[in-house]
Amino acid sequence: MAINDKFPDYFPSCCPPENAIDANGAVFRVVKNEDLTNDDFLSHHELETAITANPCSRCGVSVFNSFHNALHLQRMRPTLGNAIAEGNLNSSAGKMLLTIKSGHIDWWSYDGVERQSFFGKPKLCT
Amino acid sequence: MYLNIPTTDSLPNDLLDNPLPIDRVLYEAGEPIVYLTHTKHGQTLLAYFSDESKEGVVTFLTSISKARCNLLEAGCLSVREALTASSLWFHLSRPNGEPQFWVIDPSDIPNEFLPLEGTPLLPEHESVFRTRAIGEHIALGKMPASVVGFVADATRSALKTLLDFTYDIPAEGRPRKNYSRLYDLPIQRFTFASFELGFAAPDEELFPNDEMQQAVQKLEAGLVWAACPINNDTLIAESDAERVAVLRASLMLTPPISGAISEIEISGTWIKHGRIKLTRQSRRKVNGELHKLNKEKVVTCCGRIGEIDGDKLSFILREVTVNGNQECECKGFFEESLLDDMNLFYFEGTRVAVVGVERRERLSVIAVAPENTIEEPVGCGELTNPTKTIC
Repeated sequence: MAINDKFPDYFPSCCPPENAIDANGAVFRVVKNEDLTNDDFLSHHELETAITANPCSRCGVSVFNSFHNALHLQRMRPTLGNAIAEGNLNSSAGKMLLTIKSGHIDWWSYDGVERQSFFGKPKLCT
Repeated sequence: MYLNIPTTDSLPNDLLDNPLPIDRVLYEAGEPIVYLTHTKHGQTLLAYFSDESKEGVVTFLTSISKARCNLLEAGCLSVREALTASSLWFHLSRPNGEPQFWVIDPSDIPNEFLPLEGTPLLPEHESVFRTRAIGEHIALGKMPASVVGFVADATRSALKTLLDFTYDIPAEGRPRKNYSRLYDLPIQRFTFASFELGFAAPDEELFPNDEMQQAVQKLEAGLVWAACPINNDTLIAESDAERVAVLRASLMLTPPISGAISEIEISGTWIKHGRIKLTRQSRRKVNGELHKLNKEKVVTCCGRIGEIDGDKLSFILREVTVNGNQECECKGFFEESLLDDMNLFYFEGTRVAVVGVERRERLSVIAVAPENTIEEPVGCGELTNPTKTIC
């Protein structure tokens, strides 16, 4: 199956950055609860939040490189949700970049990618 | 906003810059979550990014001293404790318009808008193992000291039981100092929401990661099995010996059938199942399974301590009497806490009665007293396989 490697038109130019790599491997995201919905995978741009943040980062979805790091964010900001979903990304999912020491990854998905489809049933953290 | 905006008068706007300056980010996850900022007068403030919607961003601010900031950054003070030590400023920054801020009492903030109790600043500060005792009377000022002892001892004993099995080390005897540091973990944090101890990993130089993780995984499997009320299948293990070790370790972390502790909660970064809740029903379940596997019986022997090994914490009881005849000797092991008493009775040649549990033909002594203080001493004829002695 051909991979759609186009990003949405609203992405700023030079986004994702050049050092972003093909998405791959296990990633973890804090989600509302055990029932995944597309709303669990909206970027700040789509939510119209974090308006002062880096415009390219706002177009990415935040995921983590380990359950442990995702769990820490869930404990730090319980309003984000009480479950963690594990996903397995591949190059058809888009690009990613490990951004900071806390294991945070920006994931820029290609246009039309159903982000939820890369993730399994979330695990409750409470 | 998801969080209700205070209805009281806001504070004068000339105290803070707009936007809030970020002096140093302490924890970020795509955006700064915890950071240091300052007032226009130079007072350092700890900032926590709490809530966000199209309407704006809510940040809680509180003053913080350099010493408390150091504790926070070392993982010795949780973010919530640092934030809620005194009153907070509720800072609302709107996309279009002047920011506003109000004084707010931490108790007026819904729980989920602050970090969870005990959450440290960074993921690497998280406790590897947390044991939490829950009960009606477990709160500061009401809690019996025995709860503290139970939580510390249960965790230490459960890890030791599985490490003994993993390393094939006899449970009895005095452990080497380095070995004991693998299960006698440093306490990283006390939390008084109920009573919780958070343990840090052992010294990395001593950390045999594979074996330690193997032991912890076995313990977790046992705890998950014990916590599940509907799973009546036998606990899966590679051998009966492993099953017994896992069950014994799990039993130690279940709440006693009576007393202040009604529930124990296990969590931490070593535990992959999030939080495991153990109830008194879990204890009954583990106990029932152990009884099926382990023919245990309580044994009382009277005699004279003939030999004692302080390193192995073992002894031989001689001149053991059964029906008034000197018939046998019996070997046993005892807890380190009994060493002083055992030595005293050995050197004085006092005849003693020992009470212990015989399991797989090994006697583990749990109490010792001079024979003449026991009302109805029973001989070693109750032992499954007493050794005939040359008296």
